[in-house]
Amino acid sequence: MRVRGLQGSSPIGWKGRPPEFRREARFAYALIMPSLLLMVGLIVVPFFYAFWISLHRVNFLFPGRPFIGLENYVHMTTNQDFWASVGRTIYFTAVSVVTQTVLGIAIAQLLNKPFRGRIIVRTLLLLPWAIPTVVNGTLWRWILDGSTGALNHLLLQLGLIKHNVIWLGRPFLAMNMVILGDSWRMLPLYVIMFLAGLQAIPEDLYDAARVDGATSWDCFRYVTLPFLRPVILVVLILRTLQTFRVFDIIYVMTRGGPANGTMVITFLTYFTTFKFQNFGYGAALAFFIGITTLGMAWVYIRTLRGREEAL
Amino acid sequence: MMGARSRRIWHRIKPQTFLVYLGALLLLLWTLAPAYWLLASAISPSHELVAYPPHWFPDNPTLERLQAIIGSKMLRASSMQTMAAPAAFFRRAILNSAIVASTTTLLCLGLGSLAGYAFARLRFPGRGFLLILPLALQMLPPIALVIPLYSLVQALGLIDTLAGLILVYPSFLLVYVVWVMTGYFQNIPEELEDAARVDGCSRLGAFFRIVVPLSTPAFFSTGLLTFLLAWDEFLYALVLTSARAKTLPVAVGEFSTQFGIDYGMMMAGGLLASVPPVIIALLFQPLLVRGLTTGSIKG
Amino acid sequence: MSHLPIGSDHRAWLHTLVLSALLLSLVTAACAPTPTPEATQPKPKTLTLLLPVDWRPVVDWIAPQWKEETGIDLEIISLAYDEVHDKIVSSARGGADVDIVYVDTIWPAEFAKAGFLIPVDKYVTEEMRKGIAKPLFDQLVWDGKLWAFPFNNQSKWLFYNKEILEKAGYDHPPRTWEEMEEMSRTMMEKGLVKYGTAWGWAQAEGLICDVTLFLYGFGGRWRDEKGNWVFNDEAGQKMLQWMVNSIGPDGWADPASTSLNDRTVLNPFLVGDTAFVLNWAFAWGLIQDPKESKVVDKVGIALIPASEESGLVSSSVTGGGGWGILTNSDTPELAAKLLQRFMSREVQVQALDLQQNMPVWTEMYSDPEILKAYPHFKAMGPQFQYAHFRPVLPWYSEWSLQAQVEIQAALTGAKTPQQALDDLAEWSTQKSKEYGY
Repeated sequence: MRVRGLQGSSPIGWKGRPPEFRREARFAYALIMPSLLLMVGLIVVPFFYAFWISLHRVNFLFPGRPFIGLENYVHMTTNQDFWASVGRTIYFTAVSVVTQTVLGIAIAQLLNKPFRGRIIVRTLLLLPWAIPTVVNGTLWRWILDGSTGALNHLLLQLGLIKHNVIWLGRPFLAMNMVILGDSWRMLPLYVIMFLAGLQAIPEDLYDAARVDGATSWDCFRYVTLPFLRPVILVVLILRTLQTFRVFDIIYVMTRGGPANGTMVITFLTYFTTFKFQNFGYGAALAFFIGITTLGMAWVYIRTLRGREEAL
Repeated sequence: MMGARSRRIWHRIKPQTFLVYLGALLLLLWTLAPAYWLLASAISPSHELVAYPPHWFPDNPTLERLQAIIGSKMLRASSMQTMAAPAAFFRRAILNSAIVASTTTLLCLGLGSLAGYAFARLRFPGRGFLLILPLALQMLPPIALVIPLYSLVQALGLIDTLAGLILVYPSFLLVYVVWVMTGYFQNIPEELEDAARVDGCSRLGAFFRIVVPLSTPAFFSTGLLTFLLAWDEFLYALVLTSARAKTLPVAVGEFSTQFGIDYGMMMAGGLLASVPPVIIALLFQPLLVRGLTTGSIKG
Repeated sequence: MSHLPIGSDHRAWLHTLVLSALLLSLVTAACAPTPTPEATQPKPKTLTLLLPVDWRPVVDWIAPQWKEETGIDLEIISLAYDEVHDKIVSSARGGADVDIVYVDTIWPAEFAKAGFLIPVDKYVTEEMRKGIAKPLFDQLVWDGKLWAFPFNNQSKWLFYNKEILEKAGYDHPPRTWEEMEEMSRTMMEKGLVKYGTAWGWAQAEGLICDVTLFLYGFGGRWRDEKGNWVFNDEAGQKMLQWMVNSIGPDGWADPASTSLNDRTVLNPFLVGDTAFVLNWAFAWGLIQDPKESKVVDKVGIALIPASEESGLVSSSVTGGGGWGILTNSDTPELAAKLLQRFMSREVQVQALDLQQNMPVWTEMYSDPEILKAYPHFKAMGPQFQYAHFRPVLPWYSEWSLQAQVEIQAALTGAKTPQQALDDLAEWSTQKSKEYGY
């Protein structure tokens, strides 16, 4: 379902156009107006309002709401906690997206091969994704519980560990466990997207390659990957954008801990705003997240356009 | 020579197929094990939940928790006294989630398809820009907008109402609908509408009579996806509701007190919260897959 | 098709308008069930309360009586404890229609400073002043005013397994930390327990509670009279080192303590794997519940020890909280009336029964009837006088989080105790200067 005309049509102006054109345009605006109003009212206005707040000191410990210009942003960029948080977010996003992409392709490859019961596996595949994020987070918190969790019990029973591991007790380990819990739920998305991409590859190419003596690996490298590359690109960017915004699972699994080990940028914003009641600084953080996201969205859109051109 | 050939085939096929089946089995385990544990924990009695050696299959499964949540059976045990109220209110939360998710979906489908039609068929100044801008805007994470939105919803007097959530949810759902619908409509040949308009139908009439019926699959799959995403939403629901309009994701967290978490109850609540989306996902898997792939990547 | 004499784009607007209106009415129709259906009649007065899930049962109990007496409905918003603070913040700042909120003992300074609460001194009766111990009021006081009605008398106690101690040859609970260590090692050697105890030292508020009682128990304190942060002195260091040692490789307490909370530390205790546990009042309910516990009637309650060197009898920490009235409320008098009702003996008895809520009335701890029903009160009563407060700060949330991080760094070996305490002291001093508290 490619959206045509995304590649900018020549700019259309009002002047010198026949009245029927103007009528068409008015008609179009009429249809779009309610949606546009919602988007503007619910996103644009609040976003700029958040920026406005960020230019003031709004902190319950100090009286009034004086205008302080970019002071909140200066504080932000010179604050060690902020950069640590950005680092964690980058780590979370990068590791999540890369592992999920690699695994996604592997599993999609698997599901592209014929075998008995494939339909069942493909159907059940979506199950984790259907489970609400909050439930998923709680479930994994339960599984990873230090004293009574299923993972520890399993590993103890199998003799793989001697003592309980406190999965959510060490900062770095907890971060990776959150990635694990999130991956369980998100992996199906990748798989179905890559599977769709794989299914578009004509079978004869593989046959031709095999006739020439190609091994499975060669087939993958010289037939599959090139065809899959555009899909991989889009998936990477799209999922990076979405993973950057991670919040719900952190809220439920670790609340930013332990020792701030999972304090990603969205959660830092939440804490600053609701726990410390530093609304001005919180708004600055929120605006930072917004701008970064918009930047990534711009890349995504450019890539989509690029694909259009290529095709 | 039959023997030698069959042996060759045996050697050639076996390892690959074996690996495939092994892979499929591992995949199945990875996918189902945690989900199974959700179910098992919800129906295991408390002492079995923490027992070691672990009871992978509960010896005495109990529906007590689920009954307490769905039915009016109160939790009698003194240690669970504090869970009685959250359990009772869970029912309300399920209803709230259902109403919010379905209404939001209908709203988005309605408005989104109109806008999509405009983008697909009409030419007008700013078309390119208006198509892209909301896409970018939708990417803004809720945490960036939640405080101003709270003020807005509060100014409208819609805090802790379902209407407040229904108003806010399209902010992250609508654009997806617009995009998918635009693409879908573009693929419907214009001649069909032209034929209708020659017969005296207005543009909008043609839209409703021709395009919409033809697009039912797209409506359905997009609608399902929108429903699931709305069902899942957490932050806005957490901040914008308190008691009456609380939705499921918020209610799930309630089974935890100052001193600890009742995992049994949380799993029971989580299980109930997962049933509708899981059923939808399993029943309509092909449609959902189509919805997920078309919106993002397919050329 | 349409023969209306209007242009097609006008029709477009019309159609869009109609469709939007239809959808909007669909939306409002969908929402009809939730707001009060009696919107046409004058709304009966309601009082809205915001509280954690564990404080709900007694309010549910009193709601019908209150309605009968005054015709006013009680609307209860209950949340998981972790979410109550943030919800109060967003409700108060957003001007939500909430009248009464739960005020945890660490929140009065913050909420008062932020202007969320109204002072309630004028609603406190003479009877209350006389019948309730002063520290219970003090912990809800800030800037010279009282910001909440004390409802819950909470502290931590030492629960010990009498049976296991007897088997090890001890006939009394430990009176100092050193004695407790010694007893634990003996019991571990004899194979009677897995560990002497499990501490609830996960990164949460509970950690700061424990650190507070240890700090004062070793003769230290958070701040001096002038407000300087002095906890990183010798006493503080000894305290933290002792904590670290207890869960170290050569220790006598469960090393998993750094991931346990106040609820999960009870699990091993309830099955007899540990002999000691520090916990709040609710633990007693679980200990005596045969469905949850294997140590029913085997457990004694004692004062939490202090270090030998300090010479103190005991050191514990205050908890619990009370009820406050939001400035948002447009019926503060009514809210105060309800809260005065909450403070009545009758309601306190119900709260004790339904929620294991320790009452605030001093005489209840020596009332023969109550002692008959709750014999453990006799052992619990004396602890309150040795209970200490955590730092009283408007910016407590921020301070506590930093403290938790630093203490955990020491407990997990990422920093030495000295380093952790010094870093925390430096940070606290700097912040105090910045914020003015």
